[in-house]
Amino acid sequence: MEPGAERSLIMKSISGNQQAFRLLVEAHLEFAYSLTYRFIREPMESEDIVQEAFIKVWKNLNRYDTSYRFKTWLGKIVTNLCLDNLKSGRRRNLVPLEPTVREPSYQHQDLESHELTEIVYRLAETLTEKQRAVFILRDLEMFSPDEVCTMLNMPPGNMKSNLYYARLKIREGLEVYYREKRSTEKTT
Amino acid sequence: MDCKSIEQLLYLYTELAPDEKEQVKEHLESCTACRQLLESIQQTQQKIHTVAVHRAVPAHAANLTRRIVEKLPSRSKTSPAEAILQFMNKEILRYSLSTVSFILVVVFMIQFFDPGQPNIPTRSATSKVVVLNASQWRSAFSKKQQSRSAVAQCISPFRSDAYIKECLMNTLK
Repeated sequence: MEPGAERSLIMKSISGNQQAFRLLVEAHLEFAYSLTYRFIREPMESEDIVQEAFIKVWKNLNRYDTSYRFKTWLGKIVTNLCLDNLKSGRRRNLVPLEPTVREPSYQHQDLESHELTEIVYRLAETLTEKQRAVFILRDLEMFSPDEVCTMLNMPPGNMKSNLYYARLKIREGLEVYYREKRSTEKTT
Repeated sequence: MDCKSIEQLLYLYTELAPDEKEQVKEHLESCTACRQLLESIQQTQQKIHTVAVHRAVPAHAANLTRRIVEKLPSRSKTSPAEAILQFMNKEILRYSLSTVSFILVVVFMIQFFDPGQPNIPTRSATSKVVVLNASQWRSAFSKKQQSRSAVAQCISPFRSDAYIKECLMNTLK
């Protein structure tokens, strides 16, 4: 979405235009859901968090600082909600009611990359909360280092330190995983 | 720069400032082990990139959008009290007020501790009492003087007792 059109939708939403806000939601829903799912890894819980995030956006749109990208501001709200959710340990029953319908779809993902995705997410779960947030925002969502610092209210040095440990642990974890995989393949 | 200190920089190679990158490059030219480590890190980053491009999408995006819009609270007009609170909560106002109060505190401290100010003696509470008592005494004294002179006017060996009595009564009235 063009920045001008986005700003116009934001201004209309601030004045109470729900139709304009619907368009804003449609434009950013995929990003918000994808970011949430990277943290939460549970479809229904992710949908609830996305819903909560957009309602928060609606309530606080007049506080939005236009010097930042809207995506960065939305990402900050989503990240905070995800971290709160992980901290509280408030998780749904992981047995989905409609497994075939509820499972999120990964677009054009082959078996090998699906396996890689799973192992990377599993390794990310072993990181500390800050390392995980920095890793997801920088390496998976590809926000700039400055944007990551803004979204997490983190000084650049602290962000870099967390990113270093996250990449180190993920790399070591992947090495172990591929070493074990090779050895099992050899034995079979 | 030794290999130990450069390891962290290799993991943050894409985030390095230009001068840091130059230092790392200089080291890499002469160190095969660090060059291999950087290659390995970059391979891992490529794998992570393939994970990054796969985005999870909600099963029913349209339903989720509808649910979000349905749950939106209507925008009610803000009351004057809320408007004042919102205005007071603005960061610019908060910062400017805190700056003004800080300046006031500094001015007060300078005035309070400035040794160059002349020492003006203040009147103490007791001195006020003394002044008050003096004025009372003065008025009492003048009244006494008046009554004495009046008595002196009336008392005379050449007047009868009835006259003196009447004179005193009139004067003291």
